Amino acid sequence: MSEVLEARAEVIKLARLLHTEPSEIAFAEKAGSDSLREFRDQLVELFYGNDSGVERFAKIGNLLPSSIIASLTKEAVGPVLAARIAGLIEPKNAVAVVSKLSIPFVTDISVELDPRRVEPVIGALPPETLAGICKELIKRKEFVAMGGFVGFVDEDTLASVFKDATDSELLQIGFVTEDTARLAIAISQLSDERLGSIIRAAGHEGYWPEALDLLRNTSDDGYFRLIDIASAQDKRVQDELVAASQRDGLWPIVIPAVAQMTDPSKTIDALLRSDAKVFKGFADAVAADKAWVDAGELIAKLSDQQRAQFRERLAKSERVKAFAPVAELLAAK
Amino acid sequence: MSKEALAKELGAKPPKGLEALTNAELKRLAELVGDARVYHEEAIQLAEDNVVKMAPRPLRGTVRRILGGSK
Repeated sequence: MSEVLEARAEVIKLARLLHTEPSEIAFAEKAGSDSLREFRDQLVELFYGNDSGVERFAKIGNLLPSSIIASLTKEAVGPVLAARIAGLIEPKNAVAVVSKLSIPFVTDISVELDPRRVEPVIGALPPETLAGICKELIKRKEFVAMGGFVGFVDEDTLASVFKDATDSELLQIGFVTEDTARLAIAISQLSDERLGSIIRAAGHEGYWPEALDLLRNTSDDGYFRLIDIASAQDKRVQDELVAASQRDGLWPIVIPAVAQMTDPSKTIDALLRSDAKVFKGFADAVAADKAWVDAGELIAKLSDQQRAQFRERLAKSERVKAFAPVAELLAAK
Repeated sequence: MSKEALAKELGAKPPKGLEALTNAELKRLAELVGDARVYHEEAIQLAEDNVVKMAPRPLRGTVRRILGGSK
């Protein structure tokens, strides 16, 4: 739905794989999300695809007692190779070894796992171990690894992990989560108060792309719930939303969301008091996307005063002609 | 030129979308890919050296045999 957000999330995942910061390779966004995903697959194959050197270690893992393997893993093998081996040995052996290792060390291994082999290793761990790993991952800001785990952690564990995470941590995890269906369930279980707090954090801490990505990855019910909670936030949050929509190219997600808010008046007020560049950006985005159904719905929800101001802003931006498809609605009293 | 450097590091043709990147950007990506590949290779090499050395003495023969007797 939003190429901008998908490409940005891909850059974050790529950066983790390349041991760098997303800002260092932000230039790669222009390659587009499909190419970046393909590139990431190539890297995973390059780094994890050749098992020939690793299989020998896996044989040892399947033969020796778990206590010896645990000690060898920590002292001799290290997390990078341990992660490779974990994907190859019998899950029940892996679990027996993991139970003898500390949570911080298992977390070291977790961040090095082949993303394609997370399920057999992680899915077999007991919930309390998983919860410990997830909390440690979040503490270390390993959001990409945590995002890869979301699909394999049971609902209760995930709910407890999300409860303990801060709002901005949760937004950053959600943004790179692979299993968006599981994410939608976890989000639906959060209270209105928590969702409001998350939206405020998005505004105050600059995580609007991540917050709007939640809209993209939620159920219909979740979508309407989130946009109505957003619509009820104070003036500062609304101003931040409108400014970020322009700055981060988020209008294609924000316009339909505002149009479908039960009461968009606070967000509309923010749009109407925004500077010329922002309002022009909004108007151009509507025209470019031919979002006339959304625009119509939005205009229908305006008060007479807001509609008059809207016409005024369009005139000042020289966008009256561009809005011809909804001219009648705009003229209505 | 840098497209070739990236292809060499990848061992495959980079996706078409990456053609939108400048030469300097492709070169940077190629360097990062190379560094990450070395990181993985070195970790495995180091582990090979360590495992036989640190395995409990009575099991060292078995471990050495399984690892192919290279160490």
